[in-house]
Amino acid sequence: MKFMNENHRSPVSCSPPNPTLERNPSRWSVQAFHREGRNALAKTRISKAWKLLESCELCAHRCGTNRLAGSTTGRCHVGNDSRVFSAQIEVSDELEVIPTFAIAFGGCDMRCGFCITGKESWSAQSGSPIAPPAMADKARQAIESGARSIMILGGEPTIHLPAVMELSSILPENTQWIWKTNAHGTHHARDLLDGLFDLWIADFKFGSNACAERLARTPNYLEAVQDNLIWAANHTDLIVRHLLMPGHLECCWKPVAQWIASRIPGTRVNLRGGFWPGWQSKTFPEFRSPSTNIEWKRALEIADDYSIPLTF
Amino acid sequence: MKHPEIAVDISNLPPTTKLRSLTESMTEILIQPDGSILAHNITPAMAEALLEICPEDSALRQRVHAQKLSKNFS
Repeated sequence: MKFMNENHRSPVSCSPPNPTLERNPSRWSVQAFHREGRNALAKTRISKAWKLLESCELCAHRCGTNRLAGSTTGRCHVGNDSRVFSAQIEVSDELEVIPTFAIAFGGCDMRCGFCITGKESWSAQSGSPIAPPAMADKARQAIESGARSIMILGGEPTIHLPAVMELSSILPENTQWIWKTNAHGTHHARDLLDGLFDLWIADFKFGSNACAERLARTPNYLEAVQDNLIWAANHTDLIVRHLLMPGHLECCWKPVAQWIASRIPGTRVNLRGGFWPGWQSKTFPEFRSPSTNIEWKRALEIADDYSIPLTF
Repeated sequence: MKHPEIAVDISNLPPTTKLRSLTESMTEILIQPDGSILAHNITPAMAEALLEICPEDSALRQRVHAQKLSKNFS
């Protein structure tokens, strides 16, 4: 029996074996992330975040929907309330951040055909309405229990920035804050996030706009994601995640690796094998089965070709 | 303006997807026909359980070790 723990959201890269990783050992040292002032900084941005919902352009779809008035007709179908469908300690993310207290907001602006948490991640109605004080208490308890970080994710947390600012204004500051995102936000979102999070874990899912439109119904994907990754590389610590999709080695992983090597060289990348053919994957013929070991080995060769520092 | 092309049909989902309590923890596991196991959102307790099944998995062992470096999640 072998383990291939994987998920586009918070997987474990247990196997197949990755010899490249031998050269890039995970950072195990516990760093001091106590950064006073983040609560206060977030607090100053709460009203601005809510104001932005009047004509929402937090994500790159730029719907302009009046979410503040409760409209749910935008791409993400999220209105003016934010819900959380999972908040628990997990050990399946990058080794340098686990155990992490992962807070997952429901609703997403993308529709990735391979999403294995889509039934919760896509729905703005999944989970329970967030109560920031109660969630902050839960986070505090998690830290006291030994969690090394707090991770905000989704769905997609970018579309929940008002609630995120409220939560960030009272989260414990004495730990690492991680922003786990599809990297499809706009400069409005980046302005709100600037200076708050110690680490961005950002997806770079597709190597072409054609694949992004076909697989995630997301036009102009590359422009939005590349803007965010360049910004993140210059403003915070960054890990890029790429889920190796069956049949998308040359069209997606290779150009992603090439771009990272040329535009944000040295950025750590979590290349994720063990594609999980779940939920709506069967919609796409190539997603009806896992990726092969041959593809995985070739993916590692590509990483090596572009001197990508892999992490796991 | 509506965007029906990305509307989510959640009418046929099990109720747990809408009403899951935040006091619950959950790990999802997929056992494939070839015996390989996929898992995500792995909790500390589940990591230990999986390691019992597959003690030779070095990466999983590292994750269990990571949690023990912190305090004990019992």
